[in-house]
Amino acid sequence: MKRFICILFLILFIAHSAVAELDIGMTIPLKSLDVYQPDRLVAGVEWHERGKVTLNNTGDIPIQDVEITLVVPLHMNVTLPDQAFTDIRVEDDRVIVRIEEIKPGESSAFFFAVMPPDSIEFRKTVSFSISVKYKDSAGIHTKEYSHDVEIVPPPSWITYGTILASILLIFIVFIVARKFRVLEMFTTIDLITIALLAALIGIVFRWFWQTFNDLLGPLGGLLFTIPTAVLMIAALQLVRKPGTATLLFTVVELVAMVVWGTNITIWLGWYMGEGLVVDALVLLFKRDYGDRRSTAMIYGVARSAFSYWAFYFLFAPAIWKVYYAPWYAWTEVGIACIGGIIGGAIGYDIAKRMRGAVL
Amino acid sequence: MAAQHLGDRMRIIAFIILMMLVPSVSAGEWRGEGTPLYIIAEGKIHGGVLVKGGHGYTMENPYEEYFELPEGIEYARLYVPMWNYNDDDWLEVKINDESLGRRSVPDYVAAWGVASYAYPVTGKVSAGKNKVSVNYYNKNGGPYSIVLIAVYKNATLPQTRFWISEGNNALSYVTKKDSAELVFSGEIPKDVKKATLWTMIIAGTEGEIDYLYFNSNLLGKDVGRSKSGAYFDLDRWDVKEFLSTVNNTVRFERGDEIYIHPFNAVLAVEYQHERGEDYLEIKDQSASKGRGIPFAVMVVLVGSVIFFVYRSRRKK
Repeated sequence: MKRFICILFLILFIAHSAVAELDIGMTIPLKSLDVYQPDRLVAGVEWHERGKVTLNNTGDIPIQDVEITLVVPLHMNVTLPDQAFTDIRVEDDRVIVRIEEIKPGESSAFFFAVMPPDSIEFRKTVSFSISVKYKDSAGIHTKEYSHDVEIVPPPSWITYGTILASILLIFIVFIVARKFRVLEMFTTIDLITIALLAALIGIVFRWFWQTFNDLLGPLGGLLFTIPTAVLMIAALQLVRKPGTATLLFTVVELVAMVVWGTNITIWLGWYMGEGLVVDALVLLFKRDYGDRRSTAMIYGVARSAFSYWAFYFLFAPAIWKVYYAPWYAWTEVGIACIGGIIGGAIGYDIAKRMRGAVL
Repeated sequence: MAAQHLGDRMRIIAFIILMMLVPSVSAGEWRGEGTPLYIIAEGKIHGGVLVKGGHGYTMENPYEEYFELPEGIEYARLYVPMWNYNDDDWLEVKINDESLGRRSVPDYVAAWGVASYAYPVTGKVSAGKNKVSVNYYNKNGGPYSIVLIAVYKNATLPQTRFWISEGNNALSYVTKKDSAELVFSGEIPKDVKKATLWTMIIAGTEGEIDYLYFNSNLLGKDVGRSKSGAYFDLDRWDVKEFLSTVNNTVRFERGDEIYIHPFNAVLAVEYQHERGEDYLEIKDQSASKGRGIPFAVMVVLVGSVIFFVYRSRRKK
């Protein structure tokens, strides 16, 4: 019985004895996680990406004489921004930080910045390893932590590929247009109609969207996707020729180039791509130029889905070197699709009335 | 039937006009080409000039930057360049946890809402570490950086003549404005120890080649390429060899950049020999100007309305 009570007391004592617990965490790049993808660095960017290491004392006794060693992979150049800590230095690939004490329930964080490599052959995962040595009432402890980060190849590779694909696309479109004498099918009135609708999309509604997108917060993209779908359906119904959508969005890019200075070499493939998708659907639906509400809505959704998907998952990483958080990108694609549905439905009504007015 | 056609046309025209009416009840708009750089402060001091800042567009909120400063700050001005300004936005800057108040109106704004908030912070910053944090409300934007320009006094150092400029000048394809120039007016002696120019540029893009000149000497190509952080370039140039004894000039050329915004240029010339008394002259701040609907938007709208009305009448 005595032995049992002793064991019970021992268990209770151990359960309530003071312990030091240290949580280690790292954030890189230091950007809004609501928008940007965490733990992904793009090779070939011009700037140092900032990172933050956070130590959190989750125990109930203070820890002292904390020495943190962060080892940076791939021999990336490391710099230290001005920060609260003074006892912090860089030695080769290592960042070494000393903290006197972290009290229970408190945390400490330090900042560093790394320059991603100029180039890597393939996408790869590398680890930042963190070793923390600290002291508490029980003695000296060491804790290891490893943080994986994906390094993606310089987007210039993708950029060149994107440009090449765009040029090939233009080339193919011109060959097809010439072979089937597509341009000869368009009357002068058709071309003026397309040019004006394209100008409305590329100048007026682009200005409108850039100026007022904040009004709808995350739904701001609707201010562009809805009018674009409306005018696209109007173009299809008024012109009623194969290739109308491709021509429309090609002209949108041309006017955007003239008025806003959009880089035609890089972006033309994106603009023409959305038109090609819609024209392919028009042929698939046996030359239904958005004559039914359902097809108008399908064209609106297809255009929106393609253009937003291509933007967030191909063109933004390739051209802007920005990787958006997947959930954010897919949300934007989803919102664009809603805009496509609404725009398709409204476009059907407006185009029908416009046709009624001109026939 | 005629009434039906008239109704259809009216609906189409009403749709376009409705779209035009929304801006009049709304906040944002094209902000024009902004404010050319101008001298906000100049003087002579036994001491030096510091220009520091970081760290690019990240959408962090709060956005933080630390500044290590020497003793004897005589003049300090803080800048928070901001992307996507709209009228309902706000921004609150804290220095060492002391709030400078909440503001909704930037000092300079240009293009599609590239804004700059400037704060006189002499007396707010102190020697040693200074933590500056920015909390903000901006639905689709955020700070490009936090930049501090400070002039400090140190009687043991040589005399330095300095000029501090600020503004927000949109050199852009849209406005067809291709260059901006700033003159650091005044005479300086031939025998100087050092001459340093700092430039701060927003929205530069790598590969779109811009040019920076000092007294017609090329300092750099593709200077605006996001090397100090996304869309942010803070550079320091040794310009001693290009220095003129009167009216030195810095010139920003847009080159291939579609948009580039010079925000600051600071020149500090360290004298070999003392010349006259120290002084500090703080100038009046310029008001931001230029807003409205781009001309092309109006032309296309009017052209479209005329054409579609004509087309419908012709078919009838």
